Amino acid sequence: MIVLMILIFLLLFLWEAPGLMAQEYWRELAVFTILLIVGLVLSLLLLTGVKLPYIESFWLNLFEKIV
Amino acid sequence: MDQGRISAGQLTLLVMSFTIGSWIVLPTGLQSGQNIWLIILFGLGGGMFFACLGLLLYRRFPGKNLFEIHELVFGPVIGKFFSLLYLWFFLQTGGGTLGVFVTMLKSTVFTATPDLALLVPWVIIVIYGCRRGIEVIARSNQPLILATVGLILISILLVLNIFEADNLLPFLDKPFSRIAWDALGVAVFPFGQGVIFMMILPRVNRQQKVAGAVFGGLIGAGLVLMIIQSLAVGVLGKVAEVLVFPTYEFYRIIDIAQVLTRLELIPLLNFLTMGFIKIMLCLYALAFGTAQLFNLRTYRPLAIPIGVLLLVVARRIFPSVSEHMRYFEEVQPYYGLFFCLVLPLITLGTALLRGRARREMAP
Repeated sequence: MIVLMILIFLLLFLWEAPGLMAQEYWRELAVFTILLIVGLVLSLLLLTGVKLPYIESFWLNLFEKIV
Repeated sequence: MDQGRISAGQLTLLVMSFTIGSWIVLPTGLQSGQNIWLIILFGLGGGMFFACLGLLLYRRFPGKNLFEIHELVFGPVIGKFFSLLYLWFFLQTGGGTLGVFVTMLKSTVFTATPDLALLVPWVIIVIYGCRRGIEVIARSNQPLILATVGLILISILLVLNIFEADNLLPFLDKPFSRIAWDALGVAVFPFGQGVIFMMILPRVNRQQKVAGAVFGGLIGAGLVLMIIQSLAVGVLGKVAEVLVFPTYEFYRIIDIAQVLTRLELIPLLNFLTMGFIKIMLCLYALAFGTAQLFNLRTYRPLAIPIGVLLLVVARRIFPSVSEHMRYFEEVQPYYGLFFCLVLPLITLGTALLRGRARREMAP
């Protein structure tokens, strides 16, 4: 499953990157790659069952602590 | 960047769709029971006030979107920080809508379908729409909002035999503090989330009509929401206060001569179409904003990775609907106020002060 996930992200990269390179959009390519890597890491964490915090629960807890 | 242009009419319809969005199936403020229409009316007033703030800011910097305004007012560093905060807000809004979409489908129709099987196709379509630009989003929105409003108007006829006007009474039986709190909740969500349109206003072809278009959209959405929630309360009575998806439930009990029954597809369809436009607009604002933050020449390649991020956020936004409702009840009013009121006020105040300082320094 992890390999499949990496493969999907690789395909997404290959889908977009050649066009950006051809037009010499290096900055765009860099931001695209970084965001894609962030997405890949988060997806892999979810896939492997790492307990990422729930966003709204995080705000609720933070708010309860403040008030 | 996107050179697409939309008309003022299209902006009105976009504001309507965005505001109707997910609120149509998962409304807040239901604790106020039969006063819900009044809550929406007050909320609409609050939403129009937020819109006024945004439009005042836009009038001071015509042709500039929110992120450009931040950089002009605060300079590049603090400006980018403010823009980052808004990017988070757009991400949470889009992810939240996507989360509600999955929760709704999983608890009603596709009970045994895995989350990803619902999310992935949806996100692919949203990414496709986002890459086509604002013109395509606005044009695809036109038939969808017409269908939604049409279906809601038809619903008035469908519920005539089960609608009990008595359910809308007694009027104002809840304490004022309760009503004010719920109205504030509705003002920031869904009306206040319209702050996202600050990213789209420069794309309107006739700039003098922008204010009218935004207000028209807010009022239209307010009316639609008022009709649908009043119908829900009128049909379900007190039960509406405890149901998670009251709109969905009241369509289930429509029965006209045992021919027109089980029409719960109508609210689902409404939500799918309006939620689709809302998520697409969030993704567009996110991709466009991120591109602007990094001074990129095009936002299109960012649609895919940000779409993936939206998907991840949708999976980790809330553990259950009850937690989501608790969040809306306890935190969202403050959280929303920060983005709809506090940040625009700070920006507007700073812009005014800097403008005055510049005028005084000029010879």
